[in-house]
Amino acid sequence: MSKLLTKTPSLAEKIFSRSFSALIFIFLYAPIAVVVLFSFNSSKRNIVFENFTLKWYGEIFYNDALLDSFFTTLAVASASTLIAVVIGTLTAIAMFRYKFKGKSIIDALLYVPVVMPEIVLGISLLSSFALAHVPLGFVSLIIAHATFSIPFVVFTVQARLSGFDRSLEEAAMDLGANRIRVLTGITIPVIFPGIISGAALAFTLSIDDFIISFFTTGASAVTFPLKIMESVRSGIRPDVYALSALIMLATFIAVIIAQVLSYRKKQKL
Amino acid sequence: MQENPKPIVEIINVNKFYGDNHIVRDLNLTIYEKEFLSILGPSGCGKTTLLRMIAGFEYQTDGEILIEGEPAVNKEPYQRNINTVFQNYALFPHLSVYDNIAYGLKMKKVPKNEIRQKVAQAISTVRLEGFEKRYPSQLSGGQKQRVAIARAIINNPKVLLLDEPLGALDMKLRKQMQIELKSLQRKLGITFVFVTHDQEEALTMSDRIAVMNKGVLEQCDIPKKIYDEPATKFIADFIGESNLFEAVVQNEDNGVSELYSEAGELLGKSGEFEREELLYVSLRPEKTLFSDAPIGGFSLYGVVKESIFLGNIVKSIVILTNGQAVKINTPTGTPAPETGKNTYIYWDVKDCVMIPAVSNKIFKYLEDIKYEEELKIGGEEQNV
Ligand SMILES: Nc1ncnc2c1ncn2[C@@H]1O[C@H](COP(=O)(O)OP(=O)(O)O)[C@@H](O)[C@H]1O
Ligand SMILES: [Mg+2]
Repeated sequence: MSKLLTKTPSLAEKIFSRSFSALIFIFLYAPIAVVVLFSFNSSKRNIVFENFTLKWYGEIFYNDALLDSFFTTLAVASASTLIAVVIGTLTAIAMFRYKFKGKSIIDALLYVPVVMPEIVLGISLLSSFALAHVPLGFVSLIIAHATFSIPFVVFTVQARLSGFDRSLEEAAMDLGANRIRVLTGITIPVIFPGIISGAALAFTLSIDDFIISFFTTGASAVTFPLKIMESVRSGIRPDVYALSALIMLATFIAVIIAQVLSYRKKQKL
Repeated sequence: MQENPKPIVEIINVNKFYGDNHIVRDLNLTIYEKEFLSILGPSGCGKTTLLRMIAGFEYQTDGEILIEGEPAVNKEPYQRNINTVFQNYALFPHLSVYDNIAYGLKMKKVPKNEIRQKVAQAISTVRLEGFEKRYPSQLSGGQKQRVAIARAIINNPKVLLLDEPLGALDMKLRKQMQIELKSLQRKLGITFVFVTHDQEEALTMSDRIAVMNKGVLEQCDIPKKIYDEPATKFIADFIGESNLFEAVVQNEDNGVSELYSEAGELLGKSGEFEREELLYVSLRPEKTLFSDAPIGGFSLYGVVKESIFLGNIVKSIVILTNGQAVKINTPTGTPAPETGKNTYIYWDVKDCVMIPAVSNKIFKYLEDIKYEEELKIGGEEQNV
């Protein structure tokens, strides 16, 4: 048995597994590489690569509509993440702590928006806003994004809570903490990694959402994905590539920081 | 303990149900100031549940708990002068040793420098100097244990509840911690309620032992009494080793009762027994004796199946004529029959313990029930 498991791979196997990994890598990163490449292209038409240039990175700052859309996206993502994290975390804690009738039904209902086609959720939100006379714009966009993010926060926090030892809360109560201090001083700090990953998920979902945003916003609040989609019709300008490349760079750095932090944390624990 | 011990926790007729499961049954127990009380019983008998009711994490279904003479019903856990050392320590993983220990004082808004001083004192009490900055995950089991104790005693509780605190430690550390805990209790001069399923631990550490079985408190007494005079068959079996003879009373005279068991005739202490009453006669292996010739009143006869030399004693197992195995310990050097030899066995009547069979109680209980039910039915009829 152990021989079988520790057997050194033959040359053919090695070549196969290496080339397979390489293929996956190319498959995932080639499109990204194209965007980065063309962000340095001096030609406006992104069919052939002419000369290397950084001018598009400068152009970003003169394209007000693009910049606006970028900041709208950031603002919507921040606000909706905040709302989703607060509501989602408290929901998860309440569902972990209390037994009540219909708990399993609520649990199941939380999955529905996750698996439901986004277009259905988009239309539902649109008609709800119409019914409630909420003007389409910044506010409706934030509400919509918070709505689809909440279940994801609940799930990540629930996952973290499943390993949570209830006797920690009892120990805190035993030592004189009231319920609020138990929540803020013990429960939330212990499940904080789960809250952070929930927030990260909500933020990412909000940033790249297109379909639901399309239905739930007006002309006053155009997000980055909507802006890009708009410009596709008239041909994408390379400054969009440049901004995309910058966003990718930021994401890349964020992922590395997260990895380093979790590695450090693991060493400590 | 003092001459006139003062009650600190009184548990009166307490019952606890989880759904239909009757976990704690009609429990009465008074815990006194400054005593080391062990709650001993097999796993699942309701020890933790009892402890949680005293701490205030769980409420009894009926009955009453008094703390320092006052009903505990309306007191939150932190309003009781009681702190708990949890079964799995429950140290806060995101706080350092220092902050774990300081937690209780911080909650009480004690001034910073006073906290520092008291934490330092608690840390030296449990001998954890130099570990202040560590996190729980960087501690060994024994060290976690000490942090949990320091964290609990820093609030100056009158009662410290410890739920199987040594359960996760290895044998050597366990013995060492037993001694430390005992001396800590003396030093602090507070009540320890110590839950354990280890009878040896309970016997060596406690002032008193409360033995629980299936939610029932079967006996609460000093260790010597628990060992020498077990009140129930379960305790005779659970604490130390015993030979139990199921027997019926034939006759009683001169402080001696004559009994008959499946293995033969035997003698026991007298009591207010009825003729034909079913009893258990319990004997410690070191009080059970060999004889070459029959002894008056006894007709227990068997063959030595095994004898094991254990240093200061020889442990023999005798199979009686009915197949029952009897354990006999003889001090090394005193004559004892070899393996394969036939022998009579007997004992000094004063060494045996007479345990009424539970079935007697059940029969009485059944009679009571019948009577009550008849009354009930009568009442219902009247209502119609
Ligand atoms: N919260 C609970 N809900 C239902 N049953 C419980 C609960 N806590 C304990 N029990 C049951 O009560 C019994 C006694 O448990 P416990 O007091 O923990 O025993 P011990 O500490 O003596 O091992 C067990 O059968 C256990 O399954
Ligand atoms: Mg227990």
